[in-house]
Amino acid sequence: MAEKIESNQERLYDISKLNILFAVSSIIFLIVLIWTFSADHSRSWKDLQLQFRQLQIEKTNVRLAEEKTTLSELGEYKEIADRLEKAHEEFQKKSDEVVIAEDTLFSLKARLSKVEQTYNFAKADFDAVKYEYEVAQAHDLDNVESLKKKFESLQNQLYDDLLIQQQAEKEIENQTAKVQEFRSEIKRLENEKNELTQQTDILGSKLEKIDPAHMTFSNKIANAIRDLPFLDFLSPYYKVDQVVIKDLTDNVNFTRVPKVDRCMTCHKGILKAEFENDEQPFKAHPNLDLFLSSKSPHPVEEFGCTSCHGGRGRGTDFVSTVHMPSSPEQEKEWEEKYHWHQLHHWDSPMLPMQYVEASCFKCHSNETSVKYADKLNLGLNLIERSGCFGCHKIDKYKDRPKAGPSLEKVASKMTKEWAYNWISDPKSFRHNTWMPRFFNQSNNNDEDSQNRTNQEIHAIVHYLFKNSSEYGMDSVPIKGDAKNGELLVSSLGCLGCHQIAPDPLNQKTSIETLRKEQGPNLVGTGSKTSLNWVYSWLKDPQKYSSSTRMPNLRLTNQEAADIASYLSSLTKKGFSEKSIPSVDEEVLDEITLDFLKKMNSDEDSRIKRAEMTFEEKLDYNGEKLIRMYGCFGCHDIPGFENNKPIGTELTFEGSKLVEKLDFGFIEISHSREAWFTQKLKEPRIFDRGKVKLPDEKLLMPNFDFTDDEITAIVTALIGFVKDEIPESKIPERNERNLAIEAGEELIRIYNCLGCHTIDGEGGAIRPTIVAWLEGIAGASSAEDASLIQSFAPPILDTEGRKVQPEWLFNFLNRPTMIRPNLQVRMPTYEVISDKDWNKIIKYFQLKDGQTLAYENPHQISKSSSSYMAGDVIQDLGACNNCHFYGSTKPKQAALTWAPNLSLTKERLRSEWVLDWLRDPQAIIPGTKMPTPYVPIDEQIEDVESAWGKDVAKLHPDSEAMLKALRDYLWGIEGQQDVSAIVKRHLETEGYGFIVEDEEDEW
Amino acid sequence: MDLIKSVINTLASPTILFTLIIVTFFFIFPLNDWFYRWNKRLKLDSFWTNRGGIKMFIILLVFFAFGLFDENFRLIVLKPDNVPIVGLIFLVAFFTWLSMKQAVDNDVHIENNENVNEYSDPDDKVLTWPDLVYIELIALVLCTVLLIVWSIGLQAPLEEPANPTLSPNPAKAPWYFLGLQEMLVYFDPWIAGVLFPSLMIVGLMAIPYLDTNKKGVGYYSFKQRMMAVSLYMFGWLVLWVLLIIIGTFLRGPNWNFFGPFEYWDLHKLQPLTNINLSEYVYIIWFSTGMPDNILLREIWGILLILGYFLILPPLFAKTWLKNLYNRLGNFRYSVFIILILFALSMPIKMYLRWMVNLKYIVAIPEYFFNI
Repeated sequence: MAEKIESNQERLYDISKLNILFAVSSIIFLIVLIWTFSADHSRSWKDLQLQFRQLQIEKTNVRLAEEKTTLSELGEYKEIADRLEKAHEEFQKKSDEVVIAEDTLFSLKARLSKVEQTYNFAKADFDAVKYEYEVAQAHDLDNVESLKKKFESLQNQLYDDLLIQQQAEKEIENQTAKVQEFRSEIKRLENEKNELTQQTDILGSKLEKIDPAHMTFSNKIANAIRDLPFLDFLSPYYKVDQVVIKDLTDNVNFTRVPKVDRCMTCHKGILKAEFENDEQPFKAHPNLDLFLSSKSPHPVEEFGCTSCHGGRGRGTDFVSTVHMPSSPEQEKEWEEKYHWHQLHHWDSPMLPMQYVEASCFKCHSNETSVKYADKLNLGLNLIERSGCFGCHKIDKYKDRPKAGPSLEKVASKMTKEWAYNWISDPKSFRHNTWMPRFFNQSNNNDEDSQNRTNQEIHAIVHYLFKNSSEYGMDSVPIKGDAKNGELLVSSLGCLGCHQIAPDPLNQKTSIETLRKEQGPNLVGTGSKTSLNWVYSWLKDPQKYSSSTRMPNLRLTNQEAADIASYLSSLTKKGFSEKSIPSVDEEVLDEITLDFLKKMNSDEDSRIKRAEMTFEEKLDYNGEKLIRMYGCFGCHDIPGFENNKPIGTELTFEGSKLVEKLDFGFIEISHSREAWFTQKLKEPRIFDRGKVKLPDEKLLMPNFDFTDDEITAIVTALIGFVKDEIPESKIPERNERNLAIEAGEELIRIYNCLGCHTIDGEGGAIRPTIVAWLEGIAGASSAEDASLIQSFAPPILDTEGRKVQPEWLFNFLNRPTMIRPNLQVRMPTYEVISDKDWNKIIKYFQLKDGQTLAYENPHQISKSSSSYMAGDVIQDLGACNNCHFYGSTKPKQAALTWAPNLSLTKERLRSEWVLDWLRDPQAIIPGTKMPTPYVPIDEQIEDVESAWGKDVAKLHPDSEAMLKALRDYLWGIEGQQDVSAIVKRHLETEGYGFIVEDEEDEW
Repeated sequence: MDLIKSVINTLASPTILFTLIIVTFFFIFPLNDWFYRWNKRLKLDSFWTNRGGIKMFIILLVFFAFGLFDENFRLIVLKPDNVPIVGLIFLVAFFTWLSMKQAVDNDVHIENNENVNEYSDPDDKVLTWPDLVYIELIALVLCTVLLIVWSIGLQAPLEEPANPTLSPNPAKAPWYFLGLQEMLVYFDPWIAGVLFPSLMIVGLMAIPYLDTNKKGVGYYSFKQRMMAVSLYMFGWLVLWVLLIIIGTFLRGPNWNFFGPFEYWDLHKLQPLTNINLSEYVYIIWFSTGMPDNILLREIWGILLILGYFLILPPLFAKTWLKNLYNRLGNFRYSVFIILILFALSMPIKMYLRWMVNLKYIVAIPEYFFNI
């Protein structure tokens, strides 16, 4: 048998060859197996963590060295170190004594252990006998007596042992104290030293953990093996760092999974401010006060990273986390560096950095302006101003007033020719109009399309003028003075909402510049409409359009005539003279037929068209075209009161799948951002290369947005997402927040911040005030910040605490004079309903923490000593230099005039008045109101002799004196409306500006 | 270059590709003596020599190498999902060649009255260990190595979470089901998804009972089992493997046909208007309206189907399958011919769809019964 196996005769294959084959394949298998482990073990994030560790070591070493230098230069430290050394020397000298004492302590301790043992044995015996004795006693056994004796003797024994033990303990205590005494000085000094070296110690121990050079031997070994394959399950140094946020979920379509963000696996320095200047991925977050840190409103444990930045939080390498480049250059760089390509299998890729503010909107969608998110705010404002919501339903802008003016009475305002030219190319009349361009765009600028669209415009104009209703215009009763009109426009406050800018200003669009574009740029008014129309409009805007946001400035006939003649003098040359293609019935017929065919058969359509007169065709097409282009989205047009917007809903546009966007034949990156950007830049571009009938073409008009504007709008659009946000993450929906949101929205809609300033925002009109001041008082006055402020519309900070709500409500409905020298006029907003005024008042109140709607009015007695004291204080403080007391004019020139104090009682809240008197600058920085002088630093005798006994009674309580002053203010009565007096005064004496550079009375 | 690509793209269009393959197939795998003579005359049996094998291999290799320079081709062929199919093409070609080479080789031996290559002395045996098990062990190790290397080299093609509002386009079945998916284009699911697969299994199970030819047992031979091999090869290569290849490489978005060098444009449109046989009959040929009665409406299709399955078998039995009928007997013949007719219905329906836009032969959507 054995021979047979050895010989290969019985074998089909040569066994030794098979052996070699087997050996080779086994070795290959082993190599492959090792490859498997190494492939599994090597992760890009581990390399990064290694780098980070190195960086951390370097940084810590540098800081440690710095700390050490500081320490070595610190005199205090040197002194302690010297003393410590001395103490050690001292200790050394006594070493013999110390040794003896320590030996004694040692033997004492040994003795104690022995004594304790004896005691424990005795105690055990005692407990046992105690039990036996108790049993015998209870059952009346015979051996009670003997047990009793035994029990008692053991009890005594135990007591003796206890005494011995306590004695021993006492001795140890004494000896320990003795031993410690030797070292006490050293210990105290060491503690002192430790306090100084705390920082270095922390850094040192940190280094011991991370830097092998500083590690103990055993730690070095552990450091070497803890990250080896297999062993790294125990306690690896390099591991995936993650936060799991249970209440934030990622939608994986059929279910939701908790958000798991592993970003900090590579972004190791993200939470450490010391890495603020390092390169990615180790750079610290640039705004740790607002994000990530535990003290910020968005701590990482609660919000994670991808809830704002997007991307795949569970990914642990550059590509699988779906990083997105901010620019083509970056894209190229990434492709080279990280083999980056967009992972298409994740619906919410990371937001490119320029759009990151979009995510704020997820939770802060109810706010009118999201703090710190300037780009998002600008985008949201641009969407509102451009009227995107007129064609695209967006929940955020529900019930917003239409973006454009009403066209219900358009025939009274302009000529058909003007309207034609305007619709055809609005920008050629007014460079910064918000009316977009519908015609002569990339998909309708060929000759055929132009022939057609020319006729379309004719039809639209025809419809608008035909359906325009009657407007009872007043004719100007007095001849206007254009020069005075110009002055009025610049001083009354028109320029808070309007501009008169004949040429582009080339400024970056911001919320601030948008405020000045609330109303149209007034250039070319004279070419657009008639003098009478402007006059009538100014006198009563609501009469022309009940929905207009243009307020009534309560102009006198003369003022209105002046302004009207000034505005009419602003003309645009060449616009009205543009030639207009004549109406072409043939083309019109084509358009008619196309519309008719949508509802009828070809034959019926032709019959119907044949039955139409020329006029009817214009009518019919006009109506259809307005419907098609969606003009009613921005304008009130008769016959289109209940039409639905024509565009795609954008409420959740940011969640729209890229696959649902039609990129046509345009080769841009397939992302939402790229598509939105392209669409806004050139709205009709996706028609390029397509064969389309005229009524199939894209309709979105061109707003000529700048690149910055587009980025802002795209940021907002991307923010319109459908994510379900748990209540814990959104700003609390409490009464205050709701009131502030509602108020801010109205303040935005009516552009209050065009004139007023709230929380440092707004006051767009101020440069105009400066210009006006310069015009009437010279350049030096125009540089005086407090003077400008005194002529500017009021700052409304603390308004809720300042005024009584009933007064405010009345004032808002019927504004009256407060600061007598103010030219800027608070207009009357007839369009704002009581409900909205209430919202605005509530906004001011809750913003300042005023929760009460009704309050007990401040009571005073004119015979009280406090009132009398107040009288003295006001007299000596010379309040009447600036303030009206009823109809009594202030002593100084109109330049410094301040509100009528007889308004105080009904207007102001007593608590606020006290704050105000205490320190006006704290409430309105830059106000001209000085802090009233109260005599508290003087001797009481002097006060009594100079100020009288009522004041002296209050001495030295300044608070009481201010209260007295307030009581006096509450007692001031008399005429409240001093406008007639003021007017007369200004006419005769003017403001009393000191044009020369003289010292101010103040 | 572009010319070659466009020629290949044109050739890959379904009608041309399928016609070419069907026309040439039985010359390569002769069904009977007539085809066999042509096979010899055209020297098509030279495929099954070493030289022929190498040529085939080189042609395939050149094709793929050439294709890889094309972006669209590369994108599809190198997709991790599709790499196995490329492997499948080479493997199927190789094993077909290997078996046919041995069969043809044996045919020569048989003709010369020599022993076939597989012939072995009944007393000559080898030991299980080590001759069998050792080899198996080595093969096992090497296969494991291959799988590991493959799985490290080509990561598993995981995709995004399934989204009900966004189905992938094209939505493809796993590669081994792509033949079935291709059938779904031409037949209702109950046929393509239930009836045909069942019949395939039944048919494969029936082979040993239908095949009474005792020749060719235990060794490769072509000539002795010409019809059996060729018919089987037709079913396997054309009706299964080819459909998988078409489904993998030539079916793009919206399940449209794309040439191998064509860009998979999501927006490509192909006319897909199809009509039923009954509409042909009544509306086009008779120029009348459709009868309300379902049975009356569909009677033509029903008759056609019945004719296909009831008239063709006896007709064939009497004519050119006379010998076969005599050899198999009544029952075996019936089972055999029904299975063949089912298999043939697939290409027939495909052609009807491509040529005359026929949707259904029998269309009774009222009862979800369409053929």
